[in-house]
Amino acid sequence: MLSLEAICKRFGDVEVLSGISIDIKKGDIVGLVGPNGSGKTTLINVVTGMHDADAGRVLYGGRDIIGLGSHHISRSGIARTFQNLRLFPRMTVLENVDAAQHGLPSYNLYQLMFGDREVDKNHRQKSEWALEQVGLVDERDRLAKTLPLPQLRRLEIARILARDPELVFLDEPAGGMTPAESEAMAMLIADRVTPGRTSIVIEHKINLIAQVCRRVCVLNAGILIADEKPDVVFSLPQVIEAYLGRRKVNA
Amino acid sequence: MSDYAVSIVSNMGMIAFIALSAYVLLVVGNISFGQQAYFGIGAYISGVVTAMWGWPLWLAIVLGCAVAGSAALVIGTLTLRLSGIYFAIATLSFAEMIRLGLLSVHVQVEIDGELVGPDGAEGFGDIRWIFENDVTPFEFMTIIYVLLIGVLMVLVWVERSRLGAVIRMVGGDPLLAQAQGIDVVFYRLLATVFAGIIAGLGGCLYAHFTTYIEPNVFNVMLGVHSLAYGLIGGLGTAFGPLIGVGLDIGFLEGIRVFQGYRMIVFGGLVAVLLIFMPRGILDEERVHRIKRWLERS
Repeated sequence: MLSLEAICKRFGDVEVLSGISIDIKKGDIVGLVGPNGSGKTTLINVVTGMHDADAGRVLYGGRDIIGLGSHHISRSGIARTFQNLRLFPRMTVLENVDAAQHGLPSYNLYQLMFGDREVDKNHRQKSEWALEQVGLVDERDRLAKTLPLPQLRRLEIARILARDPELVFLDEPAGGMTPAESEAMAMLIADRVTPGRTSIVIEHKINLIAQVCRRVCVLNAGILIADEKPDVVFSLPQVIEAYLGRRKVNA
Repeated sequence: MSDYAVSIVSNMGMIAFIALSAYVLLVVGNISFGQQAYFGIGAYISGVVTAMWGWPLWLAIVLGCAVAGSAALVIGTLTLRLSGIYFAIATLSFAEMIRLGLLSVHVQVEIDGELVGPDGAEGFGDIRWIFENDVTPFEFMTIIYVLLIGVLMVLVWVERSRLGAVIRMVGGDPLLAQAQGIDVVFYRLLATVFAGIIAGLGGCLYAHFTTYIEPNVFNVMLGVHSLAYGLIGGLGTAFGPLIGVGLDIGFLEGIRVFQGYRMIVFGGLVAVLLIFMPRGILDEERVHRIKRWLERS
């Protein structure tokens, strides 16, 4: 479904991604882990069109999507969340979820201007359903900026559910959360997001990755150093070394 | 209504167009210091159409708006990749180019023994449609406000539609909007053209109300004021810029208490509001609260 072939990306003199190749099949739930600065978010940014790759190809459904605008990529069925929360703070919770659907192919300019009763109704129902799934129905009329962090993260998930994408990237969905909140987020992802959907999850919280993902790719300094099942990957010496450093491993 | 009151109220109405024009761009996240260019283009084109060609006002308005909108399309296309201060400087430069260009335009024709048409720094007088058609200032003021209400209705309708939400997405967080399938460049261009047409319409009316225009009327101060009106009145609704216009022209200029200190008071007002209400009096939050209150009651 998604093939990354020898992706390279530099920022000035720093090579952030060095020939990353990963093949993701339909329905895969992949954890993407690695120390800070290993290139995880940059990789997502390349796939979702936020950054251009310097070399390599990204094949999605057999088509190379490198160079397409990020809105085209989004409309082709790929959705993402952001490491640093991105929401429309001056819109209400419901408006944020509605807004996530305005860029879907089901809306053209005419429909956006004059409305389409059928499409509007379906989208509103989907927004309400998505809020119900993440437990934010009672907050629907609050301005997004007034929600606490765990609920904002849930709002991001609601947006994903409302868009119903084929492929989803979650960039640190439990970032800044307490262990209990992270556990709840892991359950939400496992119950509502990943079923029937190809998912790639970036997260530093290994418990969440182990709970949600069936496969883990490890990046270190822009290089893919492991691609294994969760129970295997964290016992590999190169992964332990990447996380803890050579001296501690030897000790 | 006294002639002075008609003049002030008409002036408020005409300036409201350029204020709304700057507001549309602010909502999509672009700060333009150049909306006076489209106001000027509308004024000159419509003046040429009625005074030199003898065509009716409605046709002058259509042509004035069309040329202003086309100019906005060209400038919008050239500035597609710019944002923030770069966009602001580009629009300011364009507006100054138009103003300086108009200073060198001398295209006059003889009508009834008099030379009529743009004459560089001497300006463009004898835009006499209002006299030739026996339209009183009060009646022209009515035309201004009918058209202003029309523009406002369109803006309110857009704001209530999903297109309005898309435009606010583009202004709120273009990266997120893009990630949700919104073609940010297209909607910014659409807003630029629409804003150009609105400013052009204001210019058409201005030329015919004052009957005399000159390039220096469309200077950078007009652009700065048009921006400030939205920032004062608020970016939560199209009625925001009208509050800004009302405060400046209706209150500060209209009552003449401040006289020579008007600009100082106005500048102070902008500074205070930007500190305490960065998105103006009727910002999105206040508009949201008002809507909730109206729904409840």
